[in-house]
Amino acid sequence: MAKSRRDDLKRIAFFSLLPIFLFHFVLIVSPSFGTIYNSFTDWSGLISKNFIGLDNYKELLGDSQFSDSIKNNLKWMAMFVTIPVILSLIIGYMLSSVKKGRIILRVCYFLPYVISAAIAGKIFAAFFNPFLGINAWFESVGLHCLVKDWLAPEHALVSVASVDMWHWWGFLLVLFMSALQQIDISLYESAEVEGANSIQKLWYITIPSIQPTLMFILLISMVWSVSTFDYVWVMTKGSSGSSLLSTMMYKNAFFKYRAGYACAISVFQSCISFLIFGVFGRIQKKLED
Amino acid sequence: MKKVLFVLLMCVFVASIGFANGSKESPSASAPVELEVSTNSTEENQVAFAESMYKELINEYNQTNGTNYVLKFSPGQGMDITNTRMSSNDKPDIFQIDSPADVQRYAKDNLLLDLTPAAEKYGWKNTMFDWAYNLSKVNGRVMTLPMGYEGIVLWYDKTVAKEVGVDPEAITNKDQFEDALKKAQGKGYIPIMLGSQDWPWAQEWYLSIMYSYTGRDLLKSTLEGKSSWTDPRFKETVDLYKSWNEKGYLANGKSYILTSDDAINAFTTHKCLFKLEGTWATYWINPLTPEEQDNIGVMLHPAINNNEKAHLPIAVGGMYCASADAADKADVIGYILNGIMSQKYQGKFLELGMDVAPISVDKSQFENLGTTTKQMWNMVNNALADGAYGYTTYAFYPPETRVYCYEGIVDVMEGKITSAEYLQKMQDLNKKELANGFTPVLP
Repeated sequence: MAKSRRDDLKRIAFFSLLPIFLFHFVLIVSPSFGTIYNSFTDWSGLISKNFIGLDNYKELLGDSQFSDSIKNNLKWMAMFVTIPVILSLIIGYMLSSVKKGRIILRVCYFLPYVISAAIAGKIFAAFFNPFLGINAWFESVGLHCLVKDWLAPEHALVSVASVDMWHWWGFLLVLFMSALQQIDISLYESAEVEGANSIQKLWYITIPSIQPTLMFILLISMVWSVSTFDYVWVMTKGSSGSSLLSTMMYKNAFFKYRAGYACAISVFQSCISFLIFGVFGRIQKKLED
Repeated sequence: MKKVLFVLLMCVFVASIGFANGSKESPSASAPVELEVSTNSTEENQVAFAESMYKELINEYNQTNGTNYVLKFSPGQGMDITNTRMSSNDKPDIFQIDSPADVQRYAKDNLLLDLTPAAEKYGWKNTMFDWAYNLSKVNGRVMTLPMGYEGIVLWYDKTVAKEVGVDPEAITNKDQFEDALKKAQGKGYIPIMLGSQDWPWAQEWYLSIMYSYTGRDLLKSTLEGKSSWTDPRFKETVDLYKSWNEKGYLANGKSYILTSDDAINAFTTHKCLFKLEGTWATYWINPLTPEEQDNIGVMLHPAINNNEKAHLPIAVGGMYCASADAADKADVIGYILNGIMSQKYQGKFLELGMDVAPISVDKSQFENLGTTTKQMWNMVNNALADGAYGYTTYAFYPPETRVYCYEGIVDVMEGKITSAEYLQKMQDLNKKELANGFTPVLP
């Protein structure tokens, strides 16, 4: 009877997952195989394509814009796995002990996340206007050292990343706060009895307790850093200093009419994401063991 | 069991949504037949006018022929969307593409409807300018209709010019031009405004002038592979452009940090002497008050050397094409494309800053235009009549060469690469694209 019940549950689970799996397979997985094949062709984006073997990949390895884009993606990743994660964890930790006004504060911090990248990007591009915008305010208050060409090639990547972080960290905050609320309060009470201070409680109780959430956040931060596109495109069009793999892929596909080459970039991007998933999977397995 | 059946039904339901395909309407005398026109326009007024124009043309055709075509109008479809749609099963019937060079790619894949029967029926060879009619042909067949012509010009602020003590239209050479720029800068004005942060193609507007002004014949033979981008005259031009940027003449050295809106705002608030933009700039000039419009002057960019006189780097604004899949609608498509070139719409195109058809436009169509817009079109038509035209990057260069042209110049201005390295890369790309089958289409 118990076995038959378990079998029933397994069947229900299987058939419940089947629709979304089919949907995902047809719309995402199958076209991905097409992308892999197209990366070995000279496809211009229209109809005709000729198989050219590894030529696209060989060209990629020698393309200076490709290596610059990878470096920029890595810098982007480094910023996103540190600044918004640490900020949202600390603010979430502090906010979890706030009794009054917690919800209002959480809503305020989450608001940037609901603003579309196209709108926020345009607004911040105006902020970064070299003649007006934030520079004018810096000048007026005497902070001349901060008057910079924020979207010039040497600063563009960090400037755009800071806008995306403003957009992103509220989402992480909500995730962290949900995880923090799951922690058993008695652990903190025991720690207080033992004489632990706030930092010790954070390090020895909070972080280990929210480890699955933390790992998930680090994983998505890394994977989305590889494929990020929207803010860079809206604010700089991936121009010099802020070229990323995704903007390079877009330009090759739609401005240079080298869709096959763009597919090769996409395959490379996917390989990086799979590598990240693989490494995280191993780390998580070790931690669970 | 019931639960399993329910879940199976959900699977079938989802699968049917996923594979659902709208049925194509079969043409008949009474059933409405959709005719889709897609355009890259996004400006509200232009979109509204274009839609009403197509509706009018389709209604005229329906009344004359007893058909029942219904317009489906799809604005805001740039090349990225058009490329994607044209490689799918969801092709629009009439669509726009950017340049004559793009027409070749589409024709190569047999995606275009042969418009030669329509061209012969309506006598396009006699209606259109010769250079435009020649651009419409691929292998002797008319495969596209040039959307209109535009050129890169120099706009100037009359009030600022007066204050600076400069008469822009009296400037005829580089020395006089640089003198004017220096005076403007000395008085605290931005000499030349352009912004390419969000629209990197703005950088290539100026490069269209610079390279065309290096020498039209040299440029033409370079694009055709007979000369080279490494010619010393091109290097001289790039070094000149870089020096202007270093001196702060180009948006105070910040042209690639400012957006296109910043550039327009700065010009309309009297912060600059010159604004570099094309003849389409009337779309933001015409909504200004008459006084503000009258304060704006327009001229051809002065010569930058002793090799080439001032002229108008032209482009076609885009190309109208029809899908080969719409062969059953060839007659109505021909009617619509011919109708777009009729005189009655040209005045409205001019008013709204849209590209005018490549035909001799009747003077009556200019009556409702502001003084500045009239002046501009007179200047453009005179330049074309005199043969004083050159080549823009976006209409005539091979695609990769073109993209590198406006991206690489920023690296030159930043000092990351030398002008020689930049031009060598341009040459390498140009050569590669010609070897890969790109055929220059140059009037």
